[in-house]
Amino acid sequence: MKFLIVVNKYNSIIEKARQLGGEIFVASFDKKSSANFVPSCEITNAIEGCSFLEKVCEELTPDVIFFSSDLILREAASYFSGKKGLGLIAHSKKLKMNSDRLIGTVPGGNNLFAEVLSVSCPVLLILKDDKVVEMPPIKPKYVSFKTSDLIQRDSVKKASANPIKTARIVIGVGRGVKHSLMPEVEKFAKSINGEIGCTRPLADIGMLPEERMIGETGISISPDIYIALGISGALQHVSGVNAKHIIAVNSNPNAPIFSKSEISINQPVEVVLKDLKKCLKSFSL
Amino acid sequence: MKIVVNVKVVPEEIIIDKETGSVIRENVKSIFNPLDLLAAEEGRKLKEEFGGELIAVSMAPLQEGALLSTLFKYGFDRVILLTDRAFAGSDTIATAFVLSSVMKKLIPDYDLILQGDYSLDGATGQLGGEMAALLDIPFVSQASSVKMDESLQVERLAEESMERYTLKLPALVSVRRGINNGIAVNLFSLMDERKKSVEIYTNKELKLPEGRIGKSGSKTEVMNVIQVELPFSTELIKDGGAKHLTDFLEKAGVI
Repeated sequence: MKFLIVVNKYNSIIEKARQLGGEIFVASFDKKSSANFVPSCEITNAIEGCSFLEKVCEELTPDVIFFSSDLILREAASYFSGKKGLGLIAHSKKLKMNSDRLIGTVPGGNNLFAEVLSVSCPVLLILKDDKVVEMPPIKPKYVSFKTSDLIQRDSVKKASANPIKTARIVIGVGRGVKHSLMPEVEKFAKSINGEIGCTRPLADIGMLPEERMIGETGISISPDIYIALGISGALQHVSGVNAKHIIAVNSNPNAPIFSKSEISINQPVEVVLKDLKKCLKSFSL
Repeated sequence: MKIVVNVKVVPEEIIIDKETGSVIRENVKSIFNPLDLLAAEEGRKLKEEFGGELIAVSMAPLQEGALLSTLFKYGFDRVILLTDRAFAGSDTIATAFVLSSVMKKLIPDYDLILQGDYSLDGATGQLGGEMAALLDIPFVSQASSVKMDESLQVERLAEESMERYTLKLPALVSVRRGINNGIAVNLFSLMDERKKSVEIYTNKELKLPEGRIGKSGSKTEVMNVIQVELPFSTELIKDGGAKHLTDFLEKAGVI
């Protein structure tokens, strides 16, 4: 089998592809990176990414094309899939071979995973990033492609990363947390190296900035531990939380969050915070 | 300006039939995909500024017509429901084929297509790119701002950078969370829900080739759905919660 791996700068998916065996070729959207195929000029949008891939495929005829999950690659993958009428398997976390057919395991939210296979060839698959592998230097083939005058990237500005997206521990505050308690919550967060997020109503009244808002209309997070303080657990909020462990503190015994939490503390937030000072040394300082 | 918003109807809660592996829709409330409503708000703002027409297109079962007719009160001028048994089981590429064919057949003079980055139930985020490719138009996703002067100006947040694009119309843009606070009912359009009606098209009118739509037009197959149960306890701790919390954090190696 011939595999084509498509990356942007870093190759973070080659390990997963290698496990399947087969002949591996790498195409990169960044012409400075180490790959078998690189573009002759910069790729800035899906149309150009797609025509670059069309050119590479004319030379290679791969059986499977893996895309790493960078935004520009995801866009190019879907554009390519539309142009060629090929099935595209989204965001696969795991791969397996089933009698010569490749199956991707795709997370579907709410702890659901679907095993998906493609019935068209080449199989297109977006792979969730794994660890970055330094590629040995390869003499690349420069591939020229048709640039597009329909779309133009005018500027790229470095934006600061949102710490809540990568935090291992996130403390979510909801309406059950009074404004006057916030300094305590901040101290608690600091003591366990956590970041603070909030629900929509709190962002709406300006208690926390909008980039801290977790949920359907805010950001989604995937920490190891999520501590929900005074959060009822509305779907719009919970759908943005993909945590391994959820701990909930709420004075309402019927709060829906308790159907998602591993530890369900039915006490007022201020009481729990006060008690925490007694049992958590780093917090009481 | 003729603005089309792709609106998906999704179940409010995703419950999986463990026998069949499919999403249960019976007795589950249907809602609009939240991100599509954010796209609708961007469309409404553009229409307000430049005039024109705001059109919703949705591929859904016939019974969702009632929900779709509520779109009129948000200021939509037309709501188009695409419904046919032949569309059932479409994956993203088959759906993209149906939607792009509808653009060509019913709204060939469209200027802009807007939609949410992904849907609550499928969440592949692929429809936009596939549809744009089928229509041969430029495409940008994860938009955090959509503005119009001589051409379309889109700002989007890529991994760790803010990028600004200029797109020639017609174009397709999908919007990210937080682009706006959602769409509000337009008082002037409140009565429209009763006055206007949803336009319904089946494949009888559209005449799309069967090999490109529904299950037979799909190129991916879901073999199996697995549900991973998260540990959760229904037992409520009424006293000494702080101690439980610190014990847990200690065990997890956090403190």
